[in-house]
Amino acid sequence: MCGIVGIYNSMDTLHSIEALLTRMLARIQYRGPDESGIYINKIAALGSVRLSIIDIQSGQQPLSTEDGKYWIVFNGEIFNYIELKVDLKRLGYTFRTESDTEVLLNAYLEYGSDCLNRLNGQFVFAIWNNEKKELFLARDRVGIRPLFFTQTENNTFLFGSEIKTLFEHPDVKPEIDPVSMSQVFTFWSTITPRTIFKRIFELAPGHFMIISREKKVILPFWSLKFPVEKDAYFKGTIHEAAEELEKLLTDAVRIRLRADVQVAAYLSGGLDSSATTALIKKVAPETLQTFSIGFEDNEFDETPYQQEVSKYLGTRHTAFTCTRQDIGNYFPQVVWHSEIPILRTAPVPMFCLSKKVRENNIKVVITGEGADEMLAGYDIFKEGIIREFWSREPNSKYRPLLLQKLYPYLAQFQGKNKRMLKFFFGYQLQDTASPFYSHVLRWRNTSNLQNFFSEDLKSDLNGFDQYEEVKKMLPKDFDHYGMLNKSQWLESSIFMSSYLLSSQGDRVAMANSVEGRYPFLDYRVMEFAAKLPPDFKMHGLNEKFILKRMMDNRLPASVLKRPKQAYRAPIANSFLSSIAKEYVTDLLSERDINQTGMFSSHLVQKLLKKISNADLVTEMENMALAGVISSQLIYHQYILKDNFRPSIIQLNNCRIVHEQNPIYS
Amino acid sequence: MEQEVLTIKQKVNEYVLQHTFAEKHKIQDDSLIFKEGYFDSMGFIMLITFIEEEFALKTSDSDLIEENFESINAITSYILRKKSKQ
Repeated sequence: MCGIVGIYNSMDTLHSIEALLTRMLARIQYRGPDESGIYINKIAALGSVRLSIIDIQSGQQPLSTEDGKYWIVFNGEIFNYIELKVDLKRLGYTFRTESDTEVLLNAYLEYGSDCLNRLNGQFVFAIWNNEKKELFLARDRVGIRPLFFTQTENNTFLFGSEIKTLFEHPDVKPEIDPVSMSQVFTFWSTITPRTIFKRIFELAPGHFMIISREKKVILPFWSLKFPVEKDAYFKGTIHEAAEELEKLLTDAVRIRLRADVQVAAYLSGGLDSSATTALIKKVAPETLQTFSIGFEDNEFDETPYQQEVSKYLGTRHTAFTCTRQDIGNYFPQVVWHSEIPILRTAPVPMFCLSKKVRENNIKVVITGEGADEMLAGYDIFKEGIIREFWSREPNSKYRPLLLQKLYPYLAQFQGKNKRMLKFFFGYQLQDTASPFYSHVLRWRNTSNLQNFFSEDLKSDLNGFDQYEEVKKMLPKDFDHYGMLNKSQWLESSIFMSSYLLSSQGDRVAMANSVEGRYPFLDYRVMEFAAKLPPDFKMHGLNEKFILKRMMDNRLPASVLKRPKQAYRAPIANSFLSSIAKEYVTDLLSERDINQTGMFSSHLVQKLLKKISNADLVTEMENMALAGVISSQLIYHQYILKDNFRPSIIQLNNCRIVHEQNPIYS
Repeated sequence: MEQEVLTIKQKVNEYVLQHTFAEKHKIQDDSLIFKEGYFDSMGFIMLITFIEEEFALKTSDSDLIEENFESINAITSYILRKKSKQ
């Protein structure tokens, strides 16, 4: 588990390249505080900072084949490396280390890009072929680990685990992309492969790239597919499906326990992490350490449930309180790590949690991310279903009332004319054939935040259709998916991959050198879940039905029965707390807003005034606040490069290998 | 009567401008404040509360139709009609 960087086709001296890669690695040291290494030849260079988890003694990177023809840098874990190793040994491969890195390299030698379909893991890696002078890059199926790249005007190609590494090259200039801003303020993230910066791209999840003097190609190796034909669905009963799901999830957990360090678990109090924790106990009954976050406000706090599950499963539980002060205090640092404006403060408690976990000497945690997307846990899925149901009888008095399950404040319409429900929630009600039907309400409401954009930013966006790029992403047979599967696909591909696994996942965990592992994102689990009949997942309006069935009598009833509580953190109050108030006042001042030029200073002042005085802050206002503050921070950190930007910490003990003096590990 | 209309319209205008995040010049008397995304469903509920409290009215089920609240002009007309019936 690490951070990786690399360069290809640079005209600079080897000395400059060495200095550059050292700086790039120094920027992401937190991803790999244990060791670092660089390999340089006349055409390419690779670098890695390592968080040692498997084969601590000899798994150093960059790693090469014995003849020095292939070199690899790798961030992630290949959980089925043991099984792959058995196969490769049978084919005649020998191994000098105990690492999964070496298994990965040999798997690539044997199977080429086809090796990707055999890997069960979370990964980005780069392999340099010194004979063909070719670079191979790959990223795991759903983008658990990040990889970014850019090309300079001189055709120098650079890649890195985080965007900040690329800006260490003097020819790579950071510039905010207006289209990306519009996407963040609609979809909560950019649409892959865009980032918030012009000319900086990510390698899309489930894709690989080959670069040589002759070519540059990017190709997919996996995508989330849902059944189209009736007989492509799982054919058994719900009981049989729950059994099969349990089998797959248990094995997913089993292989994710493979480490030469202790593995712990997050326990949020919700169904998903309770299930993963229960399965860990099933596979490895010894004492398990669990961790969770608590909040001061009852609105967000889930501590009672966490304690109940911990007691029930017999874990050694540690809970940390994340105060509003903490959130306001750490927000700038979290934005530095996320490298994109964020509309929520939710990533910050996750940052605080991983910090505490690390202080307890834990490097690896298993968590429940992915269950809501794969097994239909979110309210947004219900929204699409209710609206579709309503659209079949649009004048029904009763059908729209189901929306009150999702928006309790609608109860204020009790006894009143329901036409207003239709007015607000009936947006494009009949348009059930639209691929975005399930998400249009959320996207339309969020895009109203663009009212805060400056006139300049708005005019840069004139005439731009933000749904164009999403349409291009859709799989060929998307129109043949049912309503639930469509909405699952959209949520997994956009919200999960581009936001949840990134800003709220990898970035904030790796910031504190902690690696997250996600059993629900084991590809066998994802592919199985996709084949399930929709009502095994969303039974009427009962979400994650199959998971509740699977865990029946194995978790406290209160956890199984509790209504879905979205993981949220306080926003407005966090920014008004003492420490934050100072930097927030600065960042949102007329002078500063006009300097960055992205927002209307008049409206931002109005927002700040309203939030400081009002008792009730709406969800939209909260999102506007977080969105504006984080955008300002990104500008200061990456473009102005002022005191909001952390200084670079020297990289120590970096093992450097030059082609002329090869040292093969 | 005209004075009354002006006062009502002024108050409604002030409320809308105060509670929406849009540039002043964008919101005309006939701007469709909900359709154009200046107010959402939460905003609608708060608007009804404001109207009931500020003008001492009681909205009924049948009042809650889009046409009565879609713009500053529409809201003003609605309030006048309700008051004249009192």
